[in-house]
Amino acid sequence: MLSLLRIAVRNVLRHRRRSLITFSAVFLALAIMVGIRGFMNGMQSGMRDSIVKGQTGQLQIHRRGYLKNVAKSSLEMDLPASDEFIQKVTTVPGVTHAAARIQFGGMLNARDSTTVALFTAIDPEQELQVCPLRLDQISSGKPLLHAPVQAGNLSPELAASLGAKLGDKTTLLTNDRDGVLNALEVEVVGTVGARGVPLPDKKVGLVTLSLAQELLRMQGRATEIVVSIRDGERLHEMQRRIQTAIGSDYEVATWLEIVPWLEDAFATQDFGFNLLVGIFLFVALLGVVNTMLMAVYERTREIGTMMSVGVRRRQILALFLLEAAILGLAGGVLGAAAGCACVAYLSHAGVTLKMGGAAMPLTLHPFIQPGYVVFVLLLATAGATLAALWPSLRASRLRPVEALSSL
Amino acid sequence: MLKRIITLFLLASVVLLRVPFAYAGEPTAVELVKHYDEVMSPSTFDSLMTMVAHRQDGTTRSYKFRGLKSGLDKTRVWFFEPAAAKGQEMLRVGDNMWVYMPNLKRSIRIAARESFQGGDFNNGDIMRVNYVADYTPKLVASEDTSAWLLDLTAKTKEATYDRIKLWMSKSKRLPVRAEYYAASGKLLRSAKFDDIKTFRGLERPAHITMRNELATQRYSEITLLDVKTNVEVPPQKFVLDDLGR
Repeated sequence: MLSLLRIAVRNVLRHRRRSLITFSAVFLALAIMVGIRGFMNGMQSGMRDSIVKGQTGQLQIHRRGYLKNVAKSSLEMDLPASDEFIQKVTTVPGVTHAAARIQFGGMLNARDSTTVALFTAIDPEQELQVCPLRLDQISSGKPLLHAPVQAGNLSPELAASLGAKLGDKTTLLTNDRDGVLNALEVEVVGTVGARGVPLPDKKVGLVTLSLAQELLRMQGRATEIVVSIRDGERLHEMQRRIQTAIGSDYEVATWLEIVPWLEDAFATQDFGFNLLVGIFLFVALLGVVNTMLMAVYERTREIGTMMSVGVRRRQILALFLLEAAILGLAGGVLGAAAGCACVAYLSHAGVTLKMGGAAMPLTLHPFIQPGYVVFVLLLATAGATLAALWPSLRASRLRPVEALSSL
Repeated sequence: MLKRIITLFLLASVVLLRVPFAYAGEPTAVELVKHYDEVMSPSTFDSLMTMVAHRQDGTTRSYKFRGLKSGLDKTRVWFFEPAAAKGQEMLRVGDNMWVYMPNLKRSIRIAARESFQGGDFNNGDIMRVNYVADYTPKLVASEDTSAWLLDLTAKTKEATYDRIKLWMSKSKRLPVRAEYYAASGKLLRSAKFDDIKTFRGLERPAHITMRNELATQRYSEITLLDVKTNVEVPPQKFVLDDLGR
């Protein structure tokens, strides 16, 4: 067996040009597979972070039924934002922070034009503990942190529809929790836009929690509590633990439940990607079939000679399969290495992309899971071996006498 | 010849019998809608109303306000109750509506299709009742033989609703009930008009119940406490700068 391997290696090295073709096909396929996967990993992770660390947080607490409610931002379904309630959440082991928010709709007025918009009221300091990427989403001006209470950040679309500029005083009019109209002045201190992911609602704004509580006459109340946890892998376990701690009047939802479309979109992306690289690999392996078949034709006399000196048909078969496997593995290892190098470089340098519909560009850092590299290596080697099966079988079935006499 | 005489006679009888009958009993769609406007929103009137908004959770909120109308397209509203709304005012002039916020001492533009103080009436239901101007009416067959059924289609996008089905009683020519639709054909609200009263010669329903068909536990009721028609209304009451004074 070992001598067979030695002969196989020698054969591969002997037929340089042919080996190079097979090698290149596998090399390219693997480099591209690993490279694109790494890029997609970076993009998906960047988008996920942009949403989870920039908007939803890891877990959210609402009054039971709030998320299913037709009128999504119903203020009647509120919950206490008291220290006592927040402490009930933060004392659950594994919870790092909790921050109160109010989601509400309102009419923003500037220069006698009014636009309906959706607002999120945040406690600027607490919010950064649960959504650290909020600061990263400021596209112009300042965040709400250290800003006066009557300050707001608007999405570029909202600001544009009102013709509002930084420093403008706008008026936010809405119905309070009881339905009575109320209005407060909001100074536009900055504009915000999610990175990479287009917002589901274009006309949105951020205001301070204190302002919203006064506007909506909801002192000490909130519509949601956003919770961050130490270990993101234990999302569902933490969901259950917090649920137990706060009781059944409230419900805890993971970000997966709050933005279910995100992982669905990624799954669709992955399916498309797998299909594409599958076709790519298939074409590369067809190249392997072709070169191996050529090898068998070229080396018919050599096979005849081997058979006539007593080499078994099984061994001939094994020899050709081994040659293909060596080429597959070598091309695979080097291809994957090239792909990994490319991913590592891009990860270090960062790739900045502006995706359609998104307000701001997203800088992503590609990465690759070792498991994926091992998987594609095995796939390439096994694929190359399998592709060589038919040519190798042909070789092993040659009749020695005819093979010797062939040209 | 005989055939022709019979035909003529038949034609004549149809014409002679039909015309006076139509004059006596069947008002046209436009006449009915005009009557609706005259009863529900006379061209000058001063009224005191209460609104009770019934919420999803079963609780209620009460409002008290004065509505003053001048001409066809000018309305002003003053809120007295609850305390949180006291001092707030609304003004409609033509297609424009504003709310005056006493805490900011400023008026903010609002729209006809937005909720009136968080209840189930829209701002337009209170301040823009001019169906002749806003809708094209058509009389359609009614299953209810005691009422006419009018199908109103909005002429302008400023109208409060895209389509309204309005039932008016044959006996008193007063609204009985109505359904309000979005352009998509979705039923948004339905109203019931009852408690017919006479306010200084004006006979009209004094109680309107507006049900929110999108969240059916929600409904709001408006009760007229007093109505004065043909009042003297100074025109400066209907300029933006007068709000809050």
